[in-house]
Amino acid sequence: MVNGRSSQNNKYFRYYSCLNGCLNRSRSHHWLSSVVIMFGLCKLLCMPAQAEYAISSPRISGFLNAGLTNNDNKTRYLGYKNSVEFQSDTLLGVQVDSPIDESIRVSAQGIAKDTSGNFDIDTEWAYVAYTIIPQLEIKAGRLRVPNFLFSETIHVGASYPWLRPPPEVYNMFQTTRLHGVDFTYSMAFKEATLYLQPYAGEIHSETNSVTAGTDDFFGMRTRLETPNFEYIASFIHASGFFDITVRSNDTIIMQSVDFGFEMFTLGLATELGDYQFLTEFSKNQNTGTSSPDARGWYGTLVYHTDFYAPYVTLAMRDEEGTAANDLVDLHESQSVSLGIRFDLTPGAEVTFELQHAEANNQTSGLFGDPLGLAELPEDNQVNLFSVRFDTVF
Amino acid sequence: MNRSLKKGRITYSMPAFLCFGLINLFSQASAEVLVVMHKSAPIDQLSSDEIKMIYLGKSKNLAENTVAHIVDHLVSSPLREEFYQKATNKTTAKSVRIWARYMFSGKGTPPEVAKDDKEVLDIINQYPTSGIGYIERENISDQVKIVHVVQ
Repeated sequence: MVNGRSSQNNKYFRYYSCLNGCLNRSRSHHWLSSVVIMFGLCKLLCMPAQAEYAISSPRISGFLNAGLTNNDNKTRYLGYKNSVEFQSDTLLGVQVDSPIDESIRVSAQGIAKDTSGNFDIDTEWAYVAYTIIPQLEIKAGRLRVPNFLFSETIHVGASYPWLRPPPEVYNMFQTTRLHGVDFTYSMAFKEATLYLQPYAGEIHSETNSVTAGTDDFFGMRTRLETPNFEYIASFIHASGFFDITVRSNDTIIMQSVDFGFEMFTLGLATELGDYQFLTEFSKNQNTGTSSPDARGWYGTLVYHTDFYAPYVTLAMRDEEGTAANDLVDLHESQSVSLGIRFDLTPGAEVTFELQHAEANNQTSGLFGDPLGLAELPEDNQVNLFSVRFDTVF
Repeated sequence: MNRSLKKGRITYSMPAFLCFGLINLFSQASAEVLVVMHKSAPIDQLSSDEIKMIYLGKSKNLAENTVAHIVDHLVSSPLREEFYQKATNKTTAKSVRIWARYMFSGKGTPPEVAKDDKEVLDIINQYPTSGIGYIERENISDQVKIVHVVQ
């Protein structure tokens, strides 16, 4: 018992596996006022980092993903229905970067995407970045949670080789935003750069029936980059609460539960000649909720030519369901994806992908809505065909 | 008969081969790409891996307390295509994708883009310790020094 909130499992909590889904829709906070004060103090205490500087005007840039997807299973898979869908993969993003002086810049990114039938516009990030010394930058405000290889650009289709990042791993932690502080310290060696990126903050969200928040949220990602390799190792710790209101006829049931969540991820992206290999492994541990502990892995091989890049991805996710209520709580899945990306012009590309997936051990696998209810399928196999146009501008 | 045909083919193809070789040699000589910095910059030489790190957005720290001000060419520039192919083994399309990942991950802004070699030199003059760019050898000026020759 913490703060009077129950720690017992409840069947409603299966819908809210840890920080997934509802926490993804976080709302604004009073953090920015703290940010301004903190940056003012930093500014007083620290010397400017760079001697050369020319004021440049704000830079506006953007990205667009537009695609269609067809799921051949009657049950929804990754949220895609058994019909041709145009909305789900369609997304528009606009980013504004503006330098204030030689060491301070502000950045904001907004995205418009289809959520439950409507195109909603939301602020994906809004932060102030202060470069204390060339090796150390502090960001504060609404930030991305840096966890995977492509966490920061998960909405930017042109930034990664797939049509979509492998869900067996990337759906294990779908919260993309936090309100807090992020430190990035870089150590440059002769032909390598090591980045240490600790961060801390809070996540809070409200939907019609669920209020969720964190009491503690912190983590760290280390990243080593060489000309042909990129390695990451990351860690997240979160603890918090779900307050759930369930209305049944005239009865209103209010439940509250504390949760704990830890996640570890290792990743590697390497290029050898025309071949590129990417792999990530993630493991999470849950306490307090009915969510099981999960492990996810994928491996991707890409062959690059001047104009197109075919790829194959194998992915797997399995879970230890000792804390689960029933099989719908478990998301054991494996998939193979074949895809090819064509460069149309610099900055514009089209990608075709066929993913064959299976839900394992009579669990729901990745069927259902990744941000909501899991669904047990009648047929545990699915073919998901997708075409998407991605551009940056 | 077979032998005479084979011989004839060799006889006819030799001049063509030599011409092609010479043309190739001249074209390579005229398109030699140099990575340059201002004469007063604290760096005299950069390795091919360091150039790759800089132009793939993996490193901006040139020396202690010096953050590179990277200058690039327009995506339509043949020099950009040649530079990225030789220095990073990437096409222009892939270089755009790499810098998109850099920019949309919040690391900072991508390189400043110049419309030609003269503008590259102008920008480097504005950033005498941190400006870095690539130009054709024929456009080099007294204001800059060569820190790397792209092979």
